[in-house]
Amino acid sequence: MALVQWNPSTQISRGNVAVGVAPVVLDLNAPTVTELNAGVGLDCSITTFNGTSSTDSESIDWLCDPASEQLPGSTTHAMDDLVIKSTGQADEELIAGLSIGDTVYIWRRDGVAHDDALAAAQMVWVWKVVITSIDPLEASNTFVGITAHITVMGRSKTAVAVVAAV
Amino acid sequence: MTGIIVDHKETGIRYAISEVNFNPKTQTKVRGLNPGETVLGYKPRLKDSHSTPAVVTPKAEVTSPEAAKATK
Repeated sequence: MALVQWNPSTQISRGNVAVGVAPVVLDLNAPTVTELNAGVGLDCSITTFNGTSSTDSESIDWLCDPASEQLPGSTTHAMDDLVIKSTGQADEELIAGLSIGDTVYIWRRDGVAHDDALAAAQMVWVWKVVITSIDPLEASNTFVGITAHITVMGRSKTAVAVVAAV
Repeated sequence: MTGIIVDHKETGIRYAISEVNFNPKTQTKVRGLNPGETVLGYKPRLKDSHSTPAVVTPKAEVTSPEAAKATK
């Protein structure tokens, strides 16, 4: 069998990424449209979003073998601080949506125009996080906003399909 | 921080939040935390089944053989 080249058409991310904060999701790997819609959409108030993970590993040097064997350890997910545009005055809705100190769920949908409504079968990444604190954004010549510091407690396995309803 | 159990009005999910984050627009308060429960440790769940009969009915049909056994 011939090798199949994976080569999808190039799609720019700007305009085609949606990010939101949802108050509660029962199953990280099966978020529902209702659960995600209950939160706040952030894609028009952030400029960047980055979720990463790292895995500990252990190297073992067996006496018989000059090459080390490496074993995978536990994986830790992390997320860059979110810089969110705000008004500096009437931000109750945003602050309530972030539920500082409590568990919230941050989701991201790639490859669909950002303002398309969430629908079943769309693929989203979901992070279970605690927004531990927020700071005012550095007062420079940019925009008024907040920096949200985020601790990640868990993440969906990969991008997972949104399900219609519970 | 004191924690409370709330029901989310739109999704019908019961979960725990800190009292300061309670938002009466989207949540209804159920009760305080019991001893041993924590805000971060409380697992979200669908609120009691009798308030969502539409979901429970098909489940009851699926598990009907077991239910029949249970009644014997």
